[in-house]
Amino acid sequence: MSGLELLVPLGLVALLGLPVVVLLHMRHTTPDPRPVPTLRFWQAAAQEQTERARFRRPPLSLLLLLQLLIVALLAFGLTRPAAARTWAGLGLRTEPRHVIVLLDGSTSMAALDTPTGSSRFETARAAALERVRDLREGDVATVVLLGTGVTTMESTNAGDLVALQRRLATLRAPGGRANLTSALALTRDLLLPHLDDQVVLITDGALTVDPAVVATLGAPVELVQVGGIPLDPEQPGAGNVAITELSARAAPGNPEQRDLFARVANFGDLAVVAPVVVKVDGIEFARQEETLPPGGTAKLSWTLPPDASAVTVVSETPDPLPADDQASLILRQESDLSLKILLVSDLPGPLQRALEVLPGAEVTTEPTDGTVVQPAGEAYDLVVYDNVSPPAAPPGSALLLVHPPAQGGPFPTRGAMTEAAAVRFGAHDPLLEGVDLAGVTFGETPVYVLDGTQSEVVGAEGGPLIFRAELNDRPTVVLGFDIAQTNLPQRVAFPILIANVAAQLVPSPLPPALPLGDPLVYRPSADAASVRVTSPDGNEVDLSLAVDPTEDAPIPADGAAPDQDRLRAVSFADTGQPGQYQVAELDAVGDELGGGRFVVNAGHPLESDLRPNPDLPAILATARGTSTPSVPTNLADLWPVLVAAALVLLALEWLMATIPRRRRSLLPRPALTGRS
Amino acid sequence: MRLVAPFMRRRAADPNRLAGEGGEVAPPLFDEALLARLRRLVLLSRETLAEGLAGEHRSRRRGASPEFADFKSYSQGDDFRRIDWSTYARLDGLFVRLSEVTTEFDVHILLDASNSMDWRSRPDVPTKFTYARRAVGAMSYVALWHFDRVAIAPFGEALAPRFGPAQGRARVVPMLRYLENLTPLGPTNLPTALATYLSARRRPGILLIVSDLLSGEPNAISNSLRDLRQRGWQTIVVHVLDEAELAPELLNDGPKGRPRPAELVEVETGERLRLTPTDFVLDRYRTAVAQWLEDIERVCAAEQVDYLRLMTDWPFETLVLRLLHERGLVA
Repeated sequence: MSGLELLVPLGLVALLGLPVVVLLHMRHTTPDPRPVPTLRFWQAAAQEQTERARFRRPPLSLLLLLQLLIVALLAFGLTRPAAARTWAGLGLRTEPRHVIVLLDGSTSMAALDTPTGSSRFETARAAALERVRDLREGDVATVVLLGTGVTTMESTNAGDLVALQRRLATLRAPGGRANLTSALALTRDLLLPHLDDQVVLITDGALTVDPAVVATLGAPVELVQVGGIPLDPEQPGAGNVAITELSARAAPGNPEQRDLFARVANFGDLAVVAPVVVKVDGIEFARQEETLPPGGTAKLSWTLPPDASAVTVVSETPDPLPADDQASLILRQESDLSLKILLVSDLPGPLQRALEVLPGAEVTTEPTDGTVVQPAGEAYDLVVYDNVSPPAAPPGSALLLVHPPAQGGPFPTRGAMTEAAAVRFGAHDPLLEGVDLAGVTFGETPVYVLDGTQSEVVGAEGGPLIFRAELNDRPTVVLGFDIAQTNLPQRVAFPILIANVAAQLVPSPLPPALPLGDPLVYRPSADAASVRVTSPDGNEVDLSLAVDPTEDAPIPADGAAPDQDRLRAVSFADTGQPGQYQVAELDAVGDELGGGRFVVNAGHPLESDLRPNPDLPAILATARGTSTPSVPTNLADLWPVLVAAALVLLALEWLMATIPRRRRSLLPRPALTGRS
Repeated sequence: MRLVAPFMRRRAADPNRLAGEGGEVAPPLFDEALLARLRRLVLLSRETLAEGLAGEHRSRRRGASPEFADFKSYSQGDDFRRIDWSTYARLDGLFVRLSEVTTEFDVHILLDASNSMDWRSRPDVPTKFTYARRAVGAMSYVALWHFDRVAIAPFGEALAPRFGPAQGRARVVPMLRYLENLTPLGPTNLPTALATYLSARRRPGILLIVSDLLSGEPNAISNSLRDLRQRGWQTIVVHVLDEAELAPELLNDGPKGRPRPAELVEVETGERLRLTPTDFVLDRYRTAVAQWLEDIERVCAAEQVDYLRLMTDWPFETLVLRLLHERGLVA
């Protein structure tokens, strides 16, 4: 038969059932037993009866024909006949599949340019769900969600498949910049050679990919493109207008004021006039219209009022991606979190005063009795060692070392400088922001020998005066001079320098803004036991404190738990919604210690460009499967159809066999039937 | 009748008492109307087998009861106290007054309780065993009501515990209850059971054998009946049959009247026989059964035994009682 293939020809052996059925019909049937009071007269009457023959000529009955047909259908089904795709609607696929769905969850997928008006991601998610629902028992499904990171979900059985569908149905776009190249590299590792691997990329096409990775993928890639429907059919060239950049810095000459810089980009093929509004603390501060050429950008700047704590820039041009039409910046955290500082010094005077004026600072002073360690059970954000070496295992905090000893100190020295003067300054180093060291004398200062990991901030002719270092992976700032021998404490530059040092070593844990999809790594205060993040939609997530994943401290040789010595941090990756996020630190009993906020901005120079990559289909078309399935994958199994037909015939046969018997049972009881 | 009615009500109200005959509740063996008819009957005997003084049967013997029967001339040895002196005064001769004496019968009933009796051809007729128990109950009721002595002995291969000998109306209810509680005993052997029963009885009486007579050949039964006759027993054979035993063509229930193969199972032995009841086979069957019945009737006639055939589809109250009356068994 053309287009029909028997995958298991051995199943034809089952046709041996046909003669068996005929043989069974040739046997004399066993009649129903009938009790009689005696056989004496029947034995005399039936002496010449010949019921000895065990077989008879096969009766040509409809029952026999039906049973023969059933056996033939089942035997044919056992051979697993597979038909070409033209018959595929009648049967099931021959081999299990492995479907890998690459679901684009980048920022551009939030665009609302779909036929239904929903976002590109929702449309893509529905398409992914449809692919997963199409699978059956034995198939394997893998969903790779592309965002700033890559999330993989897999199902290998029916239960997992249901769970995967449920998870897909509630999946939210992670946002950020999708890295298709790394996702395809991951997909290459996920392929299952013994299955029919199928890769489906559901995206808006606004992606780039390395053609070399695609060519070596090992499976064909089906591209399902979503979005691209223009909002205004009369202006198909109108594209997306986005705030792609927003930053603020102190105004030159007036540190109390800040200058705001914003970049507005037009990703369409038509010039647009974009009304841009600046809101300071929710109140409109400025408004202007900016003409943007096709594909052009405009850099705008404003000087903000001194007391501004948050600023938002909004582009009021209607476009498919409203999420990137505004960007915000947190200029000042309204944080009431305390800054716990341990000062180890025998003469803490100037240092203690400079530290205590820091906002929220709680300073604890300890003498240098040679056994100074961080008190057990209490953590500090900053530990200051004045004229004393830190312990061999320094506390898990940032360190400020003041005039560490030349002998036995943590840094090697090479003599000393007498009457050192600052001659070298780190350009634009934030430690020196607002610090005027003119006329400052530093007294006798050891000449510290710096290696490649340490950087000089302020130096004299003979060596560094202020430098950055890392001590046991802890950020450390070293003031090489002795506070008692310098006139710096009498200058206004001293508290500014200490404030800058504290700000650098214990930076504000919340960034002013994050790109969409970028994870937030947050180091809470020492008293915090967990961190609660409230998304713009009101969803709250409690994050228990864990070790900073970016820290990679070596495990101590003595086997002590390293976590006690490492900085604690939480990571919050669900930043797929643009807007303002609230962060609250909670203690062990759940009371709020303080909090802050950060902003996630959707605008991105690449992601806000919603136009699909025209080269993407051609590049993906170069992906070819390398594995050869054991059977042609363009065939469909017909055995379910045959089995279904056999079952129908079986039911018919059963009806034919039982209905006459039932009808007989309704007739009057025949004679010679006993009660027993 | 108050003795019987509560008993019958108790039987009918017992839901656990299944007849095993199509799952129906077993009807009582007798109803009030039948018992009323039975009370008007009395057993008859062709021979003088009466004994004792408790019964209501007239005896040939003359005794001293107040019931006058006749005069006879005084002869030596007569009780001179019975000389009728009034007659002597009138006739100048000695005459003795004779009084009438009433006696009772000894009624013995052998009831076949084999498995072959516990069979019927269709649900709307009673089994042969049920029918036989009704017949036995009727005869026993008549006898007890008229103060005859009754003994009922069911038998299979051997005799089972019997009822009686009992006498008097007070024994009616126990007798009926006994019959109600009888169950089939398995295979049967009539000659052996008969011989065993007679060996323990010296005084002859009326013997009813109620059976389907399938347990032995007529010749073997003939010997037993001859022995009974020689010992002075008045024997009555009540032969209980189902109509299908005489009309085997009812076996043919195949489509369009065609014979269907059947596997016959003998209820007593479990022996099986597979055959197709063709017309030829049925003819041979009828011939064999007719010959068997003829032999039985011949044997009974030869041994002066009353033979009564009862079919289970006959209405008991009318046909059977009339038949008993016609045969002179009751009056």
